[in-house]
Amino acid sequence: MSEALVVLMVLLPLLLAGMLLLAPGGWRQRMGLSATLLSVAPLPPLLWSVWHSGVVEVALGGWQPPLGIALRADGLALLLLTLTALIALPLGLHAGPWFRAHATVGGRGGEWFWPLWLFLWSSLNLLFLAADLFNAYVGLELGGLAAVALVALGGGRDALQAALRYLLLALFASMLYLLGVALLYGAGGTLDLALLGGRLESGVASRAALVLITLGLSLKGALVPFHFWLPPAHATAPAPVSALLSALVVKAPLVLLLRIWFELFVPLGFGAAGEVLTLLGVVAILWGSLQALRQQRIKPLVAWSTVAQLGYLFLVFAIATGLAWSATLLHLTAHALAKAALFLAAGNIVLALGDDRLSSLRGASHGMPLTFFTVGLAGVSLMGLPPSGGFVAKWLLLQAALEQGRWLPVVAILAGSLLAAAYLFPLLRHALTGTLKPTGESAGRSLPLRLELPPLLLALLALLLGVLASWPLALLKPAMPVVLS
Amino acid sequence: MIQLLLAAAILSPLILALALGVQRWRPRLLPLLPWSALPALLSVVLVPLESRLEWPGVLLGQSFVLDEMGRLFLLLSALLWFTSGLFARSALRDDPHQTRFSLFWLLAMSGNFGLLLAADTAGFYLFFTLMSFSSWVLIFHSQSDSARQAGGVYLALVVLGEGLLLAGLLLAVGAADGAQELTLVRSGLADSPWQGMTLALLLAGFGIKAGLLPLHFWLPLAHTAAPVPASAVLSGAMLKAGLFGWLRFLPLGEVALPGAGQLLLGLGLAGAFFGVVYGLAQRDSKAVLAYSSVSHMGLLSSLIGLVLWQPWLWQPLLPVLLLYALHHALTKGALFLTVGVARRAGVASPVLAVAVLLALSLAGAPYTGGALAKIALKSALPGQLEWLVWSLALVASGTALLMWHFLRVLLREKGIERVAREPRGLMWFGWSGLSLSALPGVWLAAPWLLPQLPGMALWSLLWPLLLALPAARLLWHYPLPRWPNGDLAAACLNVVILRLRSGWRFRLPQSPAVGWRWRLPPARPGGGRAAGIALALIGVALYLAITMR
Amino acid sequence: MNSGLLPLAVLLTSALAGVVIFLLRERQHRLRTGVNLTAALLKLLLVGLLLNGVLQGREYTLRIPFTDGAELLLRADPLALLFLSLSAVLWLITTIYAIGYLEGAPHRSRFFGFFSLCVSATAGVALAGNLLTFLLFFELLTLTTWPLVVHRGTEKALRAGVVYLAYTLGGGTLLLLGTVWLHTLVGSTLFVPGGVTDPGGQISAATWQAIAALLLLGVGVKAALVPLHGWLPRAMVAPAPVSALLHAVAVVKAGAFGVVRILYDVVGIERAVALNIAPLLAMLAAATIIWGSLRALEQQNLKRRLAFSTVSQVSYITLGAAMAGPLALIGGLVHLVHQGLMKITLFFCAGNLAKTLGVHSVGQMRGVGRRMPLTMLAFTLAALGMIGLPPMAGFVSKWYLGLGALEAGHGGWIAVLALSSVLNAAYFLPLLYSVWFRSPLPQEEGEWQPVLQRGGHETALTLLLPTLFVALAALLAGLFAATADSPLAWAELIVRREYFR
Repeated sequence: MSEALVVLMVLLPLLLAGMLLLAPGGWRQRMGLSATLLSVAPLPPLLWSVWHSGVVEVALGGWQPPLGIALRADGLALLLLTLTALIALPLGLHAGPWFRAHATVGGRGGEWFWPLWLFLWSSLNLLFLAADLFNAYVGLELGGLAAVALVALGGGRDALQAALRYLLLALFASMLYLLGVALLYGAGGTLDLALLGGRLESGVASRAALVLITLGLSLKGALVPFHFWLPPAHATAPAPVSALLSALVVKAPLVLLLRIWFELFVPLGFGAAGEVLTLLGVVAILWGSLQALRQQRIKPLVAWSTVAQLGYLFLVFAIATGLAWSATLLHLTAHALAKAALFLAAGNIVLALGDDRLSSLRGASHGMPLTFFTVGLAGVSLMGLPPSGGFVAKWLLLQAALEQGRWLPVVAILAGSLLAAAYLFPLLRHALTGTLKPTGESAGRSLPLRLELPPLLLALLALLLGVLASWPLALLKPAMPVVLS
Repeated sequence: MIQLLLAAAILSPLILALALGVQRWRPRLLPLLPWSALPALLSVVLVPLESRLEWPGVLLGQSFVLDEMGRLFLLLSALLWFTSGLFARSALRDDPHQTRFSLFWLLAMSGNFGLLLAADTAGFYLFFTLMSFSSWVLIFHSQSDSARQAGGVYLALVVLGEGLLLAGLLLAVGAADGAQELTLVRSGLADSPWQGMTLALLLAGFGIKAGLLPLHFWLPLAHTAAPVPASAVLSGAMLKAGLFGWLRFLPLGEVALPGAGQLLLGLGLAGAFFGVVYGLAQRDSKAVLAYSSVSHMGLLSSLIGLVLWQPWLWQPLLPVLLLYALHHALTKGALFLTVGVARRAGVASPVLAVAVLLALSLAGAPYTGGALAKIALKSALPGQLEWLVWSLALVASGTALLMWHFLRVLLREKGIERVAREPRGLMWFGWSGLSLSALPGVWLAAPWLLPQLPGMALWSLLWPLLLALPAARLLWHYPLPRWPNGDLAAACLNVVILRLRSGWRFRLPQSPAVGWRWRLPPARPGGGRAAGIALALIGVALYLAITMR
Repeated sequence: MNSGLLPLAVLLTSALAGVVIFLLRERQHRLRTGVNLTAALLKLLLVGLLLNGVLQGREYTLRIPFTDGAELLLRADPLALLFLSLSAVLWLITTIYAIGYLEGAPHRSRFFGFFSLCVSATAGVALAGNLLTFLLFFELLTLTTWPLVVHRGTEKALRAGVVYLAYTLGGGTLLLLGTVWLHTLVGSTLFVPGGVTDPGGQISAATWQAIAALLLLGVGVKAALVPLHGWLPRAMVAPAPVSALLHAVAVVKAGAFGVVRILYDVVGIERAVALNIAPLLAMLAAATIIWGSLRALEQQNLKRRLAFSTVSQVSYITLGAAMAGPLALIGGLVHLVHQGLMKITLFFCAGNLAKTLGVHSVGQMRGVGRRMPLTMLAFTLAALGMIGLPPMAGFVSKWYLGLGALEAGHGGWIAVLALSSVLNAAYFLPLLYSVWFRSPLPQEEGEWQPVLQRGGHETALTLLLPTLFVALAALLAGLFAATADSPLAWAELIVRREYFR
């Protein structure tokens, strides 16, 4: 029963994506929300099952590894599936009205969004559930392609350019990853993550594999200095797409890296390389924040904030404790929710103002108080202030770093949250100025509630995560890699 | 009943002051002003010694006691407040600000009575403060330029004094292990670990009020600027509060403190002489009287200093000191009221007669109250302090000279504030009442303080007066140049006040604002080659990190 | 009844009121007022119950799991109740005042919503039973007060908001670091009278010093310790009720309260003395007292002058705590209440002046005593209290601080207290003189704009009555300090029961 659920998590969105692709244009938008709801359906029973009876493993088509496709639903995978679903639902509510409103000002892309998104969803789920490295590659590659297509939905020269750059990068990164996987296969004779762990030995091949896989996944994960593709891609995409990209797509390679790193490389004694990644993570936090600080437009600012926030996720490689690992995944979750909320809210603002310059925000809160409230709540989580999920994650991360006596990450975490406050402030500073100063004809246009509520929902979830942090932590605990626990 | 009377002594002025807040009641309440001093006066007579009144919940546990020393001071204060109050009611009847004056008069009066009766330190400080700040309003009452300046100088010194006093009282109470009871605090000071500091603070804190020499300069300014009745209570009652503070807190008669004692003795004597000399250079009768007060308070201070130095003199000197205080308070108060009467009504012969009598009494002419105080003092001082006796005689001689100068100035000032109608009955009543209590009154009170009155040593009383005669003749021909009222220190302070008023402000550095900006180099999109190099470098770094472990 | 529910209920009364008010429409002011006042009264009642229970030695704790090894803990101890009662009483008063002050102003739903949330956060700070919970509510306080500071939405308010956030978030970051550090070393951040125990004794002196410095500087920002006080005067652009709340109840007090908590319940006062933390803090507090007064002296804007006065006065609390003796601590704690009452009076008066006559600067206050005698009477009482004159509440605090300084063997602090009194007098007394005894210049009298419909009184009753109430409270707190129900008695109870047995 639960095996079927695992498979459905991957197949259902894929099937629905296919159906929507074949459906006539008008239907796609109408069916999008239902498809989303349907795709989420297998998750609650699966969650129930994993929570109560532990990991579910599936060998697809009855083939055992190393030959067949193996899926493995452990706590980590479940957390990410849940996260994806939690983002998908408000997004599903929001995307339809947004694209419709977007169309009235000449925007396009609404009809292709749904199939592509479901396709992306399916590949993300595949990646999260993959028990072997090749499956993960498939998920990574397909997800990347879907993401590129979604970026291109924005239309226009900038969007296409960004999409193209993203495509090249994604292909190159996947290639690096694939090379690394090939080396590992050569050394261990299997692709199954669990089996490989016992068979690998420290040698040139496995070292080279580490370098290649790490580089490939950090490229896709937009670790500084490989972040150059991210801000244009995230900033030019339509708002719901940006939310997906920042919240989920960039996180996927990182999750894969976390799995491979702590299940394969650290037992081999390669942990020292983590210092490099952590150092880059620190640089990412600072550089991303500083760049965000000097942006004059809303969406690039939010995109740069993603670069900075991704840096936190790389701190774990040097700290390398169970606490840091949990904290990193909690941060990932909190950031995903908050950033999705922020991008959707930013989309609303841009839609209402017809302009995404920060300077035109003055007095804008008048027509859309809820959207600005959302920005505020999401900002609280991004800054890591209580009672948000970001706070709990930061707390645990700091605790882990201090336990290891690592002061550089500590300083970076603290500086990062102060800088986050600084760069998010321009978004908020006019949120409370009641005096409306019309800057254009669309200024002050009130937004419908169905556009304002979904991001608010996401932001509230990010906030709620702070109060209910013990749930995801409990879910993660059994999934913790052996070397860490 | 007894306690009710004691409470009424303190509270009746306060209640009346509160009631003045209601505009409709004011016309009926204002005439009650002098009479609110009556409960205090009655307390002196009716309340047995050592009666206590406890209000444990108030402030830090308020208690009052009427002891021997307090009773004498209460007597002189109540007399002064009562008679001057009568005077004030009459003199200020047409004043536009009479409500304000009455209000703060009542507050100051309550403060004065309260501090005399307070048995705990916090309570003492409360009433002392109430009196000090309320009298500020009385001083600048006329709001002329000089009054405002005098008020400013006075306020500055009051604030300074409050600060010193707070610190001193805290040290004293701290040394008594937090005990509030005045008697405990007093004996605690005898072996306090911070004795020197406490003494310095208390000497200076009360010294400001008592007009001790370097801190005296507010006194002539304030006395000159204030309305006559206010000057009378200032000089008579409020200056004595400083003296009373010393008597209450200093470990007099318990421990020998030669350093502090000699200092106070020296400052006091210097003040006694300085007041005389500087007073002679004044052209305003109230200023002359004020400097005479500086001189007399200096004398009293020097006696306190003497006792601090040689504690065995405490027993013989205390009654004399009290007598002297009583005599000076009443006489000086009466003289101030005389100035008021003379300025308003002109100098009729009875007025002049009383003025001369008062002046003679202050100078210690035979058979006056002053003479009584002087003789008693002389007989209380031990033989080896011959030089002090001589100095006191010289001061008496100087006082005689100063009083002669005062009478001259007074004659010149007669009627300068003449009002359309003759001074009213209340004013005469107040003035004569005080003069009566000053002249024969001191005689009547003396047996109460001194069990056996010393005989009149006529010659030793007369020669200082006679010595004054040639000096007076000299001054007649060669008068002293006119020196500014309030002397040098006040002049300095005035400069500061003037500069402050003319917009002189000091600037302190501002706290840092947040809002600095910086510029980053503009981010270039793309940068594929740089990324490639970075990729290679980081790959190498990763590899090295593994292998070079 | 589960005894943990009462503290939670105290938190929720104002939090729920805040949420409900957010949902109300702008024009439903009657309903909003009703919700506001009901919640405030209810909270007062609950706090009263709590107070009574704590007085009888009952325990109130509520634990909520947070992460592994860390939990959120609400606990009502006597110290918490001191702060909580102050905030509950003053919330009610300030709400009434604010209803009058903001009559007809825009965005009232937002204002009162955040106002209530802010009070919730304050209650949380008071009831926090460990450092983590404290930190949580401390940061929430920052978040909920910022909208109040920038409420006016003018450019100046926005700038002040930036400064406010920069300072307080910076402080919060230090506090966070210190808290996590301590947690990793000890495994708990529970407030324990006498300080967190260090079972193995493995924490070095230098580490303790560093942690204490982080924590104290973290709360020191809100307590406006020099040189971390820069936000406070700028935050004056907020409407008067906000300033009153900020200065008297919420933000500044939370900082000072935090100093006491950290010194006595986290670091432990004996350790703080042994490691030279307390003496250094006392020096910083003394410097703040003097510096704040000096800066106040040169301010011409009334609210700015009051703000610097707050900088100075709040450090009395810090000084009292840092002097490390029972009497000094009593003085510091009781000043928490006394300063609150006096300062809220002053700000209410400033608000009355601004609202009724459009008077904002010290220079415009000439002769205003005749126009608004009751308001200025309240102002005078509070100002005299600030100087530390008996029988106002400020005197009692100062007296205990002074005695405490002697008891702790540092008589030198008395000089600071005395000097502060003198400086306070220097910036209040000339003001009082010109208020009462000078007549207004004719052209200035013309500038007194009749901003408000007054209805026969010197100003609206919703403004006047709260002002008089708090002034009276400040007077009575001092005049009857020796009674059994005074703040002083409660402070003594705290000190005797918890810290210096």
